Amino acid sequence: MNILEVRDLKIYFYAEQGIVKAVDGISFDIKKGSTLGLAGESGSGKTVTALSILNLVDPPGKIINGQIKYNGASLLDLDAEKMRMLRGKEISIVFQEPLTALNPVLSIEEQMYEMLLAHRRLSKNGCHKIVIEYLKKVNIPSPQKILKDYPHQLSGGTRQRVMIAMSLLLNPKLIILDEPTTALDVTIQAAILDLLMQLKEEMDLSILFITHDLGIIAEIADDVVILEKGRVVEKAGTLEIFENPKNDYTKRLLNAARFLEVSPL
Amino acid sequence: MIEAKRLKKYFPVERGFFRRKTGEVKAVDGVDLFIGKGKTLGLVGESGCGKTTLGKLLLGLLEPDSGEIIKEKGLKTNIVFQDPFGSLNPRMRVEQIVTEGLKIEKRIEHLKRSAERLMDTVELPRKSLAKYPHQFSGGERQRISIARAIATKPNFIVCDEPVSSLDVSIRVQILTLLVNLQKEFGLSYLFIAHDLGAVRHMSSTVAVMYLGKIVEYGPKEEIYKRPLHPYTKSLLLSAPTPYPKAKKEKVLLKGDVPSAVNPPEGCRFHTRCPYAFEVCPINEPLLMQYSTNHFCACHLHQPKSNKNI
Repeated sequence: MNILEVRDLKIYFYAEQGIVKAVDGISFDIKKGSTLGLAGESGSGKTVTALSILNLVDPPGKIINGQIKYNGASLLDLDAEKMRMLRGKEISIVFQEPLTALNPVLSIEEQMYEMLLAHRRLSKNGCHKIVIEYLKKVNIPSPQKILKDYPHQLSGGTRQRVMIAMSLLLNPKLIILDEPTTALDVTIQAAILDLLMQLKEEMDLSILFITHDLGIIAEIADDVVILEKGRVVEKAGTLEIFENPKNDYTKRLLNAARFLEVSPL
Repeated sequence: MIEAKRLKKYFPVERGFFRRKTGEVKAVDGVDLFIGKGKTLGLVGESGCGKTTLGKLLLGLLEPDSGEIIKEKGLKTNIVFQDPFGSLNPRMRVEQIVTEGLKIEKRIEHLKRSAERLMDTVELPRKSLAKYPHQFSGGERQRISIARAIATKPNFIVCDEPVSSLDVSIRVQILTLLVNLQKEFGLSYLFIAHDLGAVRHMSSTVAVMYLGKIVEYGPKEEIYKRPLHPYTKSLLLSAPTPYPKAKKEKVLLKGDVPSAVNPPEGCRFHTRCPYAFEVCPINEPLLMQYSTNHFCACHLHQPKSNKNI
């Protein structure tokens, strides 16, 4: 059973210099309860694909063709209000840079309350309880201490934990992670990846994980889609892609990743 | 070629209108290192550990508070930065960029020839010289930065995360170029990185830095095969590997890197170390020698001697 199905998706950008075919006819599925790794280098169209699922592609970009189905229902046909209700509640997204994704003038508490109150009728006390519960879920040791903090006062790792807590606040079924650990140090990255896999089991999530790092894909994905310049060049189960890559671009990426890897002990 | 002894650089933290000094960032706190001719020292550490400050000290871009830098006679230095977007002047043509450092010592007619030769060396077409930085990809821009760095014929280059912002396939090309240039011109490098990936291909010796201190230092083979410090082990084991079946036993560290303003007492790593015991928060471990040129600062190990780097 697929939680998300993308068919022949095309997203073009109408720039002054001409049309940029950022995504040019891609199709993929995410099986319920699984992690799909969407891998590609810069300019492959991976981020804009993520944005399109929540209808967040801004002009001059435009979805010009294709179908995106969530649990069988078409997302591209939803009106603005229905899409707004779906964001966060059914599907949520975590971006690479939590400092730009979080609102700099609201405290952590304020932005988390705002998110809850947009979807649920809760007292201040009720909000507080839920926020603390979710900050604990993402292993923030003393959540009380950071509630009144502003995003810039937190470390990169803590900020990303807050982002993840926010994305889970309304118990979504599908979570899109767009390079969530790329801006972090390796030791922090390891802890966050570990946390994400734990939360996936605990909350029965499906995950779309977008990254340039095939190492991360190997560790966490069940299936892989390799993107190059807006097209899918290869898709398969993770073991299959890593042990028996068919496409030349996939092979090139894999060789580069293996050349640069930190050798296992 | 270049040697540092007990190098220290603290930055004051100032607050309020009267800029009262409220603390110090101990960016580099007593570092010894040595880089031989034609060799590369890989300097690895996470953000805020002081690795870039250390690079700047070696280049003379910052004055150390104490300690000394011993340079071989005739040492000429230069730097390649991480960000090939921010480090090239967008209003200059490539020809101007790469020959800027030559203008004091060469006549105009020679500059064009030098610029062309530099393009050949970094494997860019000569017609690139007439273009502006924004017309190039990240990898090409990094080649331009490298051309600029070698233009003045230096023998020591600080490469400050030169491939971190590039796509993986481009990284390999730039690293290969740096290795080839090293062989061709006998360059010495300080290669700064935030993980142990690229360093493996670049360095003969590796230094691992944590909160202003070198915690482990040794020949590459030793560092990768027989790491001693728990932080080095964690850096090695934290990095995801592109082999789905490899089940690595991870050394997950607790919490975040503490602030360098008030680094933890005793061993600076003890707050995150999974093996910390009674003495770690009390006594600061010294960098001790374990085998030929392999040094480590950790209470878990019994050293053979306490010779300096």
